[in-house]
Amino acid sequence: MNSVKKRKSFKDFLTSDGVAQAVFLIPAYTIFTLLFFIPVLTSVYYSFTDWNGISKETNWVWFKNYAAMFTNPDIFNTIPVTIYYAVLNSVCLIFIAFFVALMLNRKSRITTPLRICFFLPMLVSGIIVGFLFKEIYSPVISDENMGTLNRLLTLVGLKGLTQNWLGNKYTVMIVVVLTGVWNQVGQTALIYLANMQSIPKELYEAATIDGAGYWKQTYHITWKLISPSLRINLILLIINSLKAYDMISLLTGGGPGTATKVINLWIVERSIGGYEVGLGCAMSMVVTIFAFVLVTVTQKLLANRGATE
Amino acid sequence: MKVSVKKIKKFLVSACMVPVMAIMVFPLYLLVINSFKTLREFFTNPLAFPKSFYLENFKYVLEKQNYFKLLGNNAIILIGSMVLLVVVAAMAGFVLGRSRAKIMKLLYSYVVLGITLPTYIMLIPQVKLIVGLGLKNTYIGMILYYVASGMPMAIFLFNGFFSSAPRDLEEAAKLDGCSLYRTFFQIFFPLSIATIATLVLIQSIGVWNDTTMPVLLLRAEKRTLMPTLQAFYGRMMGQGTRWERIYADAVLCMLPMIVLFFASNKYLIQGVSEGALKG
Repeated sequence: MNSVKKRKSFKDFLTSDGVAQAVFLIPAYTIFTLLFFIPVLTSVYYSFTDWNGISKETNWVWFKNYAAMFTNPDIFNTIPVTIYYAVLNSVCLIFIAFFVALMLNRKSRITTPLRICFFLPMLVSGIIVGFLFKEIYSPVISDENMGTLNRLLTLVGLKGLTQNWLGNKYTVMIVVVLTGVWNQVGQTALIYLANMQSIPKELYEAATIDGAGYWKQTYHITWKLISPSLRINLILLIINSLKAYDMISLLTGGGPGTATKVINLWIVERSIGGYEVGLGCAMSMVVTIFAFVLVTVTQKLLANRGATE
Repeated sequence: MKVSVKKIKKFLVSACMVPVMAIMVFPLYLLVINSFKTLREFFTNPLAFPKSFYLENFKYVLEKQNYFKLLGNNAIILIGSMVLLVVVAAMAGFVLGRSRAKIMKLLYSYVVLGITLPTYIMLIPQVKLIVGLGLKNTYIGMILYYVASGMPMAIFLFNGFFSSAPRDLEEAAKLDGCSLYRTFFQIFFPLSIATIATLVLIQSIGVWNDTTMPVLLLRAEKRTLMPTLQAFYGRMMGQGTRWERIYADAVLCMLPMIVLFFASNKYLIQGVSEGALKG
């Protein structure tokens, strides 16, 4: 009898609003704090030490890692390459994905196959993208055979354009970015598309009555009203561009020379290959702060965009 | 007359899209057709459709690569992490999105700011921590890692969905004497199906294609598909790559994700607009 009463009061306790809310929040926040937040803090701590990844003892070295990073001559190559890649990748995707979303937003017989064609590549992993496109771009794959792109160019009579796409420092970055566009355009376009479909149809009808053509409508209505998705896309693209590792490492390994050696290749080379985890963490911190500033600035700029229009 | 001009225009735009579609599909076409060729045929004629469907490559991968064992490992990790992530994040997102308490905003930013962190920065501490918890070479360790990594995006989407879900539903449930648990699990959670599908697809791609953590935490018998594919590719680098076998392996590794994509396809747009664009 007593136990039944006790259980009931415990149930009452559990169902009171405050406690129930805590029960809903605690699992998520426990996992996140333990395996996401604490590791971030640990990483900040390592960036101030000379830990090599193995040894038991570490020394607190203050800003020595950060100083080492900025006095290393490699940084004058890595930072421009990273920024070049990130800007080219983000800008291409922002605009190309917008046009793709416009096409996917039309009602026509090919909309469904078109959607599948653009969304399927986002399922392909960095590893597969890496070796698939390596084969496509390579000048030779066996003794007498050209890579696929060169073969296609020869077939359509543009033999003069054939070259070692990944081995030429002028073409390599474009080729890497195009591969990234192929891989990611679906995700970016999907976010735009969801936004476009929520724009009220009446706006377009009114504009048509006013005599505005398709491109005018696209610019003044569609492009101006997709701020929410533009914001999310920019955040994701900035972060993904600064995070890029898998695909670049497999396609080019940073080469030829150091033409595509983005900062993550450098970080992995030093912290895992060179046993300088402290330095690697310091470099990662710099990238993180840079990403954070970039995201904040773009968000501020876009907030104004929404307000003035 | 006006209508027909419009129709012609529409047709022309569609016609222009066909080559674009061809370019998008072309790499996947290469991957699939070449997995059905012998190495000889691959080298002599890599662009053409295979003369006959040569199945030895798939047989090789299924037998020598221990495909079904790896697929099982992968499925345990993927399903475990997605179920845990969806339930846990939806519960938290529900409270964050519906409660008007000031602290919720703070709690929301605490997790969602994680989206802006390049996740590789904490890889080494995460590995150390998981090993320290005694979860090395266990599925639980991998699952918890993926749940934590997916949490910022999941909370972002669920908070967006639940904060714009109709309020009268909740009031009606309260009048009927429903507890928060029943209100959530019987009314709101099933409503968020599109958000769930979108989240699961986005996160599954990341989990399925991860080649870093499984290598660091799991021994060979518990490994997943993608790292094994990478190792398979890496082993052949020096000695003449057997492209046709790699392609067959890649096709088989991608297959489950393609199935998942077609299963979640119809929810994707709804999921993004309800979750990501409302928050």
